Amino acid sequence: MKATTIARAVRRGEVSARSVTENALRRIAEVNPVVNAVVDTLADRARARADRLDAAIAAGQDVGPLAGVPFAVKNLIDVAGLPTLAGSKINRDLPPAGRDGALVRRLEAAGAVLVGTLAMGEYAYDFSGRNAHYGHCRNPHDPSRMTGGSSSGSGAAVAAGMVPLALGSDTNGSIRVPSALCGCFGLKPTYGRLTRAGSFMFVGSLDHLGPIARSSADLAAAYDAMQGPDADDPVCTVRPAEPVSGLLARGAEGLRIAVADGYFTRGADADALGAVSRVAAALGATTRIEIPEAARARAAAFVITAAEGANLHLARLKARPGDFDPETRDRFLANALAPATWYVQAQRFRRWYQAEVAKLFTAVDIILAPATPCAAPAVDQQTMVIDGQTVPVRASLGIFTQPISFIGLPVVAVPLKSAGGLPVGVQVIAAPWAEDRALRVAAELETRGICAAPVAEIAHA
Amino acid sequence: MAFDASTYLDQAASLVGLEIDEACRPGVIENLERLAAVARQVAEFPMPDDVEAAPVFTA
Repeated sequence: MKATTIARAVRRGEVSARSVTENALRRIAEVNPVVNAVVDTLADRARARADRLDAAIAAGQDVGPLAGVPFAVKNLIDVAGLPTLAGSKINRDLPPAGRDGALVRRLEAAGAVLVGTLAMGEYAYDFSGRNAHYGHCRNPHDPSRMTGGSSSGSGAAVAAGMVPLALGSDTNGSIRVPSALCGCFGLKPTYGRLTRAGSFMFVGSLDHLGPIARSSADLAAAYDAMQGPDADDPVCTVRPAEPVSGLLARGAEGLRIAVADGYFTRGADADALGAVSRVAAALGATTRIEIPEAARARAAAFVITAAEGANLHLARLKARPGDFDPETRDRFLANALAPATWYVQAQRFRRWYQAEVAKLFTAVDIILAPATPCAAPAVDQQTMVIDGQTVPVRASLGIFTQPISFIGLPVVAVPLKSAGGLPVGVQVIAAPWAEDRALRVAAELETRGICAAPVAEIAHA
Repeated sequence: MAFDASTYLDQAASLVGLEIDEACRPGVIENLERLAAVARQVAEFPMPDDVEAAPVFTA
């Protein structure tokens, strides 16, 4: 069941929060051995919370719009009583978090029930879902294939039907890539929209948190519950919450929609480009638009990520290099040696590019682009060919997401099925602070039957 | 003068106080060369003097 369906039934007393929680725990026990998405199952906490909700509902109280909705969070978000692992071995030595991260508190305040923490690529430096410490995450739609990352467990847990809602983080594509490869809806809001307080982040200039779910309505419900200023995150907006759930029924009406040309057509295979074409056709979008200097924007995001990430981890790279995942260690070490002028130039380029892209949004409301260059590669595939060049998978699945998050634009990743049956995703990109428009388009695509996120049937469970 | 990642690695690692294990060295050099190639795309972009860094984005 989807999150909004569960909440409606729980609020009406048709089903108890406890029974919904038990279903989620059962599904986790059943399929997690195959997909490896959940790291810590919080059964006691979840049962206690669900029982409190049921008691409150029985007493006639309104427990909120997400009543009884089980959710899980990428394990870089604090959960009281657990060290915040961020996919690493080193962080096991951190003291347990004193309280839940801000978004966990906001979702639970709206009635949701935290049931687990989720796998991720080490320190979020990953597009693959591979992890040497905790095992690779596997795609519920085909366990021989990768989930995408770095919010690998978030995409996999939702696609596998363990939870209808998960939180992930997105620095360069880490919500949108696993959403696309696992066949889920993912929302990367505007930079600064959702508080990141109480999480172990990666690249302060680029980090976002956001939800992954199986419908646009579920994304909207979770997003509405999480909005609002937070003094504990220095870049969180002071804008008041702007709820979107009530706007989805408007669909794409009145929106000017264009397809990203140039960079966003090179290196994508027939599955990825075909998905964009199907979405564009359904929406009647015939305009093509060039996002200027997108390749350079991707390069600049790469440089900022390198410099800020390495600075964050420098003490750990000095003290415990052998405890890093071998697939992140050499990159982090190299990045720690980058000269300052690269970083500053990349930050200044960001301003230039932001102003150029802002001009595009005077003529269009939505830009469509592929989420990834292809459907999910095999779990052990190390390299891929993009635009004639052999490049590492781990760093390259995000070539189409990086130029967008680089300037904080809100995006909904919407899922389609490729000809071969694997999921593939399209980015529905809007102007800053216009999450409502991207979500409306996602809702329209669902209504028209173009996009859907069915629970994966998992063999040998 | 061509960029020599191996020499740069030794000096820069010493400057920031990082010890690079011999076993990691080939991987670090490979990643340094890749980063340099990517950074070149950004560095070569002619930037007007009045363009400052951008931490805040509005519509």
